[in-house]
Amino acid sequence: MTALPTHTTKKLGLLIDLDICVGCHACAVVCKEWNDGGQFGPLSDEDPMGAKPVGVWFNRVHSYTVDPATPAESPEPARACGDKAIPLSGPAGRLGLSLHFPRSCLHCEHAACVTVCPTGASYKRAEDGIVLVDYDKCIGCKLCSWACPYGAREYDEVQGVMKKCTLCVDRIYNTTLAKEDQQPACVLACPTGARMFGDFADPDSAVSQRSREREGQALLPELGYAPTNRYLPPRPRRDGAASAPKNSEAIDAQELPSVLRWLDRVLSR
Amino acid sequence: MNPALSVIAFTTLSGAGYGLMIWLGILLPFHRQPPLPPQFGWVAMVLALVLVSAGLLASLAHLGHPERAWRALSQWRTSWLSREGIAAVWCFVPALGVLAVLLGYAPITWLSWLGPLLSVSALVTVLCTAMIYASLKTVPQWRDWRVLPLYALFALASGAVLLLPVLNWAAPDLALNMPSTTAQAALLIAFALRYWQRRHWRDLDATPSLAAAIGLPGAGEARVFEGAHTEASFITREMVFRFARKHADAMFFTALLLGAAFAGGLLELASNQGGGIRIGFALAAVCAYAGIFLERWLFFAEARHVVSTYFERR
Repeated sequence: MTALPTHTTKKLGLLIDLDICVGCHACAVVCKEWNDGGQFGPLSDEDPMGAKPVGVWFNRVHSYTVDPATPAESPEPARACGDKAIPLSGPAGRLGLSLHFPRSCLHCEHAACVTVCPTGASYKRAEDGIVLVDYDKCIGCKLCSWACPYGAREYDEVQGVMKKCTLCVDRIYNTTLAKEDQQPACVLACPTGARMFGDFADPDSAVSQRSREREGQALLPELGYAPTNRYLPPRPRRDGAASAPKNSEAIDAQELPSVLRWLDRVLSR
Repeated sequence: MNPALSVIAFTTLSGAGYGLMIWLGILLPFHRQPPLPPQFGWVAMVLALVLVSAGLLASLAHLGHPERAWRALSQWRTSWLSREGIAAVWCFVPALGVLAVLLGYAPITWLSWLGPLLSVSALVTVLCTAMIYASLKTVPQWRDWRVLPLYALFALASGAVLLLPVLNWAAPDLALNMPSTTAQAALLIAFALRYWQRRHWRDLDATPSLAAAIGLPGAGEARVFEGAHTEASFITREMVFRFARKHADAMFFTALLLGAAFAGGLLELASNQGGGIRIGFALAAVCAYAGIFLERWLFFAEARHVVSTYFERR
C-alpha cells in the first residue's frame, strides 16, 4: 500500500558528520558492492567498461566549497566547542571551507516517493520506517524519482525498475552476521567514522544524542518531507585572531650587534 | 526535466482525444438544429478513441515494465497517476457506449445521459493527468494553479480544432463559423494563459540555495567544487541539465505562431470560404497540434527540479 504508516515504531536512519567526512567515496563504493550482490542485487550498469559508463548507485558523494558567512547572515559571535567558547563568523568561519556531502535516501516520514507510486511497489515499513521498492511490482514509470527532492532514487535501465537505498535491510536484521556487522555497509566502511546508524525514534539512542549535541540538520525541512537522516554541520572553525601564532617581541634591530641583527633579519623572513 | 517524447506524446495525443470526447459528449445529444450529419458522429468518435489509445500506448512506452501496467490501477487512494489510469480506462465505457449508439446498436435516447457522462469522464481524466504534475512539490514551476486549467484548455482547444475537418468532410455545405470561432477562442485563451504562466516562471525563485540543501542554511554561498560522478547518472539525465534556456523564448514564440496565429488564421480563412471541402481546417489542426506539442515540450524542458540544486555549477 502506498498510504504511509501514521506511526512507525522505529525510525531507522543515518547520522552523517560533515565535519569529518573526507570525501573518500568508500561509502559509495562499498554500497555499490554490497547491493550488487546482496538480496536486492544486481545494481546494473550500462556500458560499464566503455567510454560513457552509467549505473545505479545509492550513495553519491558531492564536494562543495562554502564561502564564509557575512556577519549579517550569522549574528552569533561565538559558539561553544567542548568547554571553550570560540569566536567565529559563521558555520564556515572566516576562511570558508570545503565540504564533502554524501547524498543518499533519507527515509522520510512523509515520503512523497511512496504516495505517488501507482502500483504499491514503493512502501514505507511501519515497524522501522525504511522506504523500500518491491522490484517485482515496479512498472518503471519513474514518477517516484520525480517526487524525491534529494535525488535518492535511481532507475535501473537494464532491469526496468526503480532502485533505492535499502538501509541495508538485508544486513541490519541478518543474524548470520556477527552483531557488530549488522549495520549498513556504508557505516562499516567509513574510515573516519563519519556515518552512524541507529533509531531516531529513541531519544536515548546514540544517533539521537549525538544529533542533539551537534545540532543535527534535516535537509530542506521546509519542503515538508520530514527526512529521518540527519547531517551534523562542521564544527565551528577557530577565529583567525584566536588561532594566529603569538606575535614576536617588538625589538629595535638597530640597537642589536651586527651578528644578531643579521640573524634577526634571516629569522624574520 | 527531461522532455521525454513518450510523455509529451501521451499528454498531447490523449489530451486531443479527450478534448474531442468532451465536445462530442455535449454536441451529439444537444445539437438538433440543424441535425448533425450521421457519419460525423461515429467518425469523430473513432478518431477520438484512436488518439486516446495512441496517447495511452505512448505512455506505456515510457514504462520499464509495460506488461505490469495493470498494477498502476491499484493505488488510487494516494497516487494521481493511478487515478489517471483508472479514469482513462473508465472513459472507454461511455466512449464505446456513445459509439454503439451512433452505429445503431443502442437506442438513440441513451445519448442524453451517455453524452454528458462521456464529457465529464474525459474532463476528469485530463485533470487527473494535470494533477500528476501539479502535485509534485519538487518542481516549483508545476506547483501552479494554472497547470490544471491549461491542460483542460489545451485539450478543449485541440479537440475543437480536430472537430472542424471532420464536420467539414461530413457536411461540406455547413459554413462552420460558430465552431471555428469556438476553436479560435479556445486556442487563444489557452496560449494566453500559458504565456502568463511563463511570465510567472521567469520571476519564480522557489528553488533552495545549495547551502540550505546541504543542511547549512546559515552558511555563506556554497558552490560545486567537484561532482559526485564524472559521467552522467540517471538523476542528471532525467532531472538536471536538461534546460531549454538558450532557445526557450524562440521556441515558445514558434509555438504561439503555430498554435495561435497560424491555426487561428487558417480557421478564419477556411470558415469564410463558403461551402465545399476546405483544406484549411485540416492544416489548422496540424498547426495547432504542432504548437501544442512545442508548448508541452517546454512545459517539461523548462521545469527545474529541486534536486538540480546539488549539481549545478553557477
